[in-house]
Amino acid sequence: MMNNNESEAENQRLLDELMNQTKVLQETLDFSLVTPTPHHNDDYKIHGSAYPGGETPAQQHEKLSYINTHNSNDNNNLMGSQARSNSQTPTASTIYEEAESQSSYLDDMFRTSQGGRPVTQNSISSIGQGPLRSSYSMAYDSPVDRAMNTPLQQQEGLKAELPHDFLFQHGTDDTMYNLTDDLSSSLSSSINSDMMTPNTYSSSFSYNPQSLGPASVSSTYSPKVRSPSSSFRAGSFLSSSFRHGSINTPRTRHTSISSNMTENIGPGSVPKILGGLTSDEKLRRKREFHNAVERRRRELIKQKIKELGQLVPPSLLNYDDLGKQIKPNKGIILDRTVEYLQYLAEILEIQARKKKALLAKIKELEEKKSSVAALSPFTNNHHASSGQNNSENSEERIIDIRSVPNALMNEQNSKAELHNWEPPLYDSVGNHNHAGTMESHPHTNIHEELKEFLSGDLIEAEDNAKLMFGDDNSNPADYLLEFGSG
Amino acid sequence: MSSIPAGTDPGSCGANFKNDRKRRDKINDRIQELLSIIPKDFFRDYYGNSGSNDTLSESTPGALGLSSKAKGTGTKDGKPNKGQILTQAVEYISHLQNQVDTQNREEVELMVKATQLAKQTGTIVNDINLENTSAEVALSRIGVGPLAATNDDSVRPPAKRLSSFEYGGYGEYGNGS
Repeated sequence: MMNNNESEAENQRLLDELMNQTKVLQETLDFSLVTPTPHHNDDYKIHGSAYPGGETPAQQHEKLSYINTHNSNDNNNLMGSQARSNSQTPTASTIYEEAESQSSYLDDMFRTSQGGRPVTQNSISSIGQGPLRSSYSMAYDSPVDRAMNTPLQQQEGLKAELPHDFLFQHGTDDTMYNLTDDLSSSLSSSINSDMMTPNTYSSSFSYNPQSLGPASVSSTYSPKVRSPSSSFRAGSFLSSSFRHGSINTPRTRHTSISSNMTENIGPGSVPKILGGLTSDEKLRRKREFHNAVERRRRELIKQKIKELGQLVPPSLLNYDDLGKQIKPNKGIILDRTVEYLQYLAEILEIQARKKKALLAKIKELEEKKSSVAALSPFTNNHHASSGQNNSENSEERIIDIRSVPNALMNEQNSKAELHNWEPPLYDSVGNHNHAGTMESHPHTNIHEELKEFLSGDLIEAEDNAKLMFGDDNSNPADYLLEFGSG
Repeated sequence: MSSIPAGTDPGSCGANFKNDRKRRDKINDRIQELLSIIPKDFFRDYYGNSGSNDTLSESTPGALGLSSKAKGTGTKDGKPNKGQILTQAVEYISHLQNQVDTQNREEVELMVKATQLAKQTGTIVNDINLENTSAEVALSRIGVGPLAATNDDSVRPPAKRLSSFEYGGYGEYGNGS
């Protein structure tokens, strides 16, 4: 339903456009009012053809069939005789078949290219790449141009014989070729579509001189229609030149475009306004492109000289040959770079010499080391040194012997001391037990207190004995007993 | 030789034009000298078909088509242009500096080995400098490296000198800076 509605709306718009054009042509009114209308239609067609991939051929077929029907009706209305309408029918059908073939090619290319990239990027890249490839194809495929020139001449001959019907034919041709130009510009992303594009351009351009001859009205109409498409192509050329970033392409394209236009201008004369505008635009864009290229080149050279200035050591860069401090500029940076490069080469040479000398010295020392082991006088020294090693080992053994017995003796002494202190404890305990048997209750308390008192004094006495007396063990016990009794 | 041109009169355009032309010619001569110093291996990409060069330069109108585009752009006589020469000069200096560093490390290892062998054999080595590498000694003369601050007179200079460095200007600020 949606597709049908859209197609019907487009058909109605086409019908309205054709009716308006015929009325304007018949009434010979001003064409400034009509000029923006086809531009709007062109924009609508571009957007319409971009989004639906599969619907385009169906819409094209419906449009062409509807135009054909309308063409036949209008012929009946205008002329009145069926004989002339019959003679016109094959010409119109030939043009329609050609348009269908072109549209089928373009649709196939669009389908293949649609899957790889998004729509916006596709359109941008296709606009950029089309002119470049078309320029190459125009340069190398001259037989294609020759083949295309012949049918164009035949068509021109046919149209010249029928001046009255040419007014309507002119309108239909403009509509059709605007459509094909839009499709080719939007879908030109491969070699096949690029081969179609220049033919379309040359064929669309070739109709201008033919239309200029018969009527002044059509001559004033055609430049305004052609100027937006030519400016559009020039813009696409500029974008392509910037993208590829090489100077060969724009010169090639200028040469091919100028040669193509000179060939096409042969039958008629181009209006001066269109020629002047085109040449002015070409010169201006050429100058802008050249300025951009030169600016980029200067920026690159400046950046590289700056990097060289950073690599060269500052002590070498910021001083003149006379030792005076200066601010570096391009000439000085290049001077110091040359000197620094030569100096680095010299340093590499010095390093190589010293490395060679070091290797020779190491070899000499290794030979000396091996010769020392072989000689007999040094053998005695080696033996003497081995004797010294033995003495050192004996000293180490002595140290080991001393350390281990000392530990053992210390342990024995501590055990002896513990053994010596045990009898006094037993004696005091025995005495206390004996006293306890006589008086049970108060002696028990005295016994506990005495134990605590004696334990503290024992530790203190032990320390004092170690410091003062080495052998007497009974003396502190007697002292404690006397103190306890007192 | 003074690398800066003499002071110019602001009033006379001819003198300014002549001095500016002299400066530009000097810069171009130095760039061509760089081209003669840098070995040809660094420019292989610009002559071969596999190179992809982003540098823009003057093109030859006669050579058109795909082969010219693949070859890459160059000057009319087939030499590299100024941008390419300067680019490869930057890469060549980095290459030389890396090479000096590599040889410096090898020299340090050899010096350590020689020192150890001298100790083992009881020999005194006094004909080779085993404390500082040759690169450190040489670079200190232009104020680069660890020995730049303490430039001793006792260090023996290398046997061969460059003519531009014999002028005597470098010995002064070697101690100062």
